[in-house]
Amino acid sequence: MRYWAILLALGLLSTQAPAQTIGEGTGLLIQEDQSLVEPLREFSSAELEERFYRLNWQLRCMQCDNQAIGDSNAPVSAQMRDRVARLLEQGYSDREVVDYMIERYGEGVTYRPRLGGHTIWIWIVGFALTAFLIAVIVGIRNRHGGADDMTTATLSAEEQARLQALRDQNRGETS
Amino acid sequence: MRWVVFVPFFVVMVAATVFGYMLSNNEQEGSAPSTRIGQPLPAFALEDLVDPELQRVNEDMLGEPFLLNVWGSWCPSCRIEHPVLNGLAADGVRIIGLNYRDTRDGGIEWLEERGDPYVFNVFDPIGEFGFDLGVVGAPETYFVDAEGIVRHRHVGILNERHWENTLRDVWESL
Repeated sequence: MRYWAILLALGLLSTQAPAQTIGEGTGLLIQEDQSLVEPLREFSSAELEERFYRLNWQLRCMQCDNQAIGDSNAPVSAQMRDRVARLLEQGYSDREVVDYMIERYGEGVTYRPRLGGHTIWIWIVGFALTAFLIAVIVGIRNRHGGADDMTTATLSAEEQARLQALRDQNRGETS
Repeated sequence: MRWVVFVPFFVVMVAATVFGYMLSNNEQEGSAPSTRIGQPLPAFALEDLVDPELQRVNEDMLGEPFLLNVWGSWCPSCRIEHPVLNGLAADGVRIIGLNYRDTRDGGIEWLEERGDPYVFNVFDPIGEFGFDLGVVGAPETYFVDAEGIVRHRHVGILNERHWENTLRDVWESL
């Protein structure tokens, strides 16, 4: 227990120390270089602004892979944001903006892949597997049903006679 | 019907094999998918890096296969890559530079200091052409044939090992 406490304390110390220096560092940087702060965007309408921010979260930063461009400081993301804003002002629809980005950066640029091409397989395989599993389960149940029928199956006259004979024999032995 | 028990097992095995194969295929270092492969280079009209009076357009590049190398003097990895490019140029590989999001002075100084492997350099300070090309960061190198069709894209530092393993063949096939 004590061993873990020491490890934890060390871990906290080591994560805190650099965080402090980074904090100081960026403070200085921002003072020196105003260009690190992105200016507020002006849009010709509130509707465009809303669509801009929605698209910001729908497009992926191609440099950082797991961030949306609205969440990323990478130069490529800044450039993509600029381009999205410009295209929207030019009257592009959301779909057209996304297609414009796909043309340049590939299908991976959108968090909502279009249906078609190889993405159709995601759906086909999902539904096909589900259908297959249902078929297997139904098959198993039917088999079990069949087995039940077997136990209640009627015996032929010959079998009845043989069964009776065995029972009589058994009774004779035990009594 | 006992075999049904093994169905999930087989499904998982098949999936693991397929994904494993795709992953190992994907790990081919440096090669990245690009929507521009098989497509002509996007149209551009930009100044020459060294001579601002000179306008560079697509036609200036075409006629012979070439490497389009994306670089900038701000890019630390380009520093490592540069001697390799110098070597390739000395071996007769035609390299055209795309000076990406750089300053003119920074770019020119770089070439004076480290040597100039480029036939010429296109100056793209705001990354306009780079954007249309789908450039994610420097360095990147596009293998383009004589008609200006992009045939291959190499992302990251191009080193001698890459060249000997795969890229020389790509170059010779252009």
